[in-house]
Amino acid sequence: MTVYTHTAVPRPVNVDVRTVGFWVLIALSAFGAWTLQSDFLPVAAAFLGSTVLNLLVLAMGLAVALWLARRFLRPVQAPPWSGTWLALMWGAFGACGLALVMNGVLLSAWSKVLGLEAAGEWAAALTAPLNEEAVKTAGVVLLACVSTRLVRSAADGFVYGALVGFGFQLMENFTYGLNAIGMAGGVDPTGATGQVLWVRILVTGIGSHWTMSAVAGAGIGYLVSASSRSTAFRAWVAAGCVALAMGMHWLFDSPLLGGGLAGALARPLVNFAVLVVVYIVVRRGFRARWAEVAAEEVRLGSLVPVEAASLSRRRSRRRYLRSFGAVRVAQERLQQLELDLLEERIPERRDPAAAQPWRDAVAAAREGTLVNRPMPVP
Amino acid sequence: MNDMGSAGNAVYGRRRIRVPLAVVGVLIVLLAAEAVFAKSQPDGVTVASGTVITFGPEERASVQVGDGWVLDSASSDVNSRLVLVHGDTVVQLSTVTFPAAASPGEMWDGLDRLLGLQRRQGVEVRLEGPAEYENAAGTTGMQGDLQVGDRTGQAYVLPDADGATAVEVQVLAPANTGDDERAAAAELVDSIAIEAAS
Repeated sequence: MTVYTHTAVPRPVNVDVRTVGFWVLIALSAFGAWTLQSDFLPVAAAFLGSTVLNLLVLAMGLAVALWLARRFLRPVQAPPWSGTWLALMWGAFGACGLALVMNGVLLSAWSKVLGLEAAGEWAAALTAPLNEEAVKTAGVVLLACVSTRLVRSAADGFVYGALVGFGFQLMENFTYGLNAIGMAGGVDPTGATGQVLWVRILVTGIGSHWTMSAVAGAGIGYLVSASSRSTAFRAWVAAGCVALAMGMHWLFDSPLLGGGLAGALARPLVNFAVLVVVYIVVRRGFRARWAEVAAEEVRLGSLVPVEAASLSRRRSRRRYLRSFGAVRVAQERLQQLELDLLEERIPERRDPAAAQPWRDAVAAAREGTLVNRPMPVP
Repeated sequence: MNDMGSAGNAVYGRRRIRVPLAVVGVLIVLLAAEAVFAKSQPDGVTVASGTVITFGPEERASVQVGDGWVLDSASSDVNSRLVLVHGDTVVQLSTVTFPAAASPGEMWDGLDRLLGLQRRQGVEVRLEGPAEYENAAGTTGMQGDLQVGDRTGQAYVLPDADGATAVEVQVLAPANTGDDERAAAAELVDSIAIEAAS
């Protein structure tokens, strides 16, 4: 009997259900969902036209959020679907439900402390940045505890922060759409919901929750990354990012920059500009590290230069694959393994030897001896 | 083996238990601190007789408060709602902005629709009317008798000249409330004014 040596595809667990972090995410999201349904289910059931419109807009918003986050917000490749859904779930249910409880407590205090007039202008700015950024950021920290693979760089934190923010924003739009019915005196409920959704998506949507929590998330991603920087330095960067996110939220809710349409447009645009700056910094750092490890793997013989050059951008990967014609499927599999190998090398303090199973898989894929699961082949 | 070098992020080993518990702890401490802060403030503020409170969008609505009224600060927001309490009598003034100019009938139906939320939760709610109404400040609108649970009183819808916004008032008190309190509430409603949008 001839025995062939085969190499298995490394299949790391992105979401480990045996972790405390996972069950905290689930439990607090369940609590948040219960809180939200207690407040809004009776309204949703009573005003079905508004609810249907709200759900349609929510579904479209979700599609746009997924497209943006998975196509643009993480360099090189999209985050795994498991992490994507967990982040959205936390934002929509955990963070939004907890914020509802916490805001209810703190908002009522400001009228007493500041007086009616000042509270009317400043209560939201003194409440939401603290509570909402705290609960959204908590989600990124919890995702980092769900496995050691979901959040391993500032770029990971950025995209998961954005996803948490998108989840929060979508659920908040839903609740505002229902609240609008009461604010319109019960007249034309569907029209009232539509007007609020229109403003929250087209006017303020560009610079709302997703921008703030992406910035905070980048800081958390940097904090938990196996970076060569000291823990103290990473902690200061993370604190700075969370403070910046809170500042963005404060500006968003404050009466600064004036009221009316000009102010309503200016505030989200400022937040979007901050997001773009943070994104450029995060992306540059990620790409620099990617180029470094790609060069190392070329030196080690795992990658050939032409492959390494094509890996870092979606378009160049597609162009590279097109040149293979009929054997494209095999090459696509090899390319994914190469991507996985380089992703494994991103954490700076990770021992390069830890990525050996991925190197072996790449080599095996070239030789045609790779199997999908470790099993003896007769 | 289970260290930063093999894990890939800083939350490894026992930190994967401690960090999520710490996150829960921080959120609980934050909520508790906010609750203590809110509890440390008085529930209501006694309003000096003769005070005029402006409220609603662009503060276009106003009400003059008589003697003995307490503003329920926790339930009030100058942008949308004032809750004033006199003994057992509670007056809630809400400003509403209609999606498009609404007729008086639509406004009253809208109010009834909102009260329907409480009906769905098993609370006995009755809204009668409406009858035309004009208060001492010259504000015109509609009025009807209102019952929510075991509290009775009146509901008012007082629109601005354009029919784009309105002040909705609910006056509710236990059935055995004295005439003094009901008269105080009527005086309060009499002072409500709303300006048209500029």
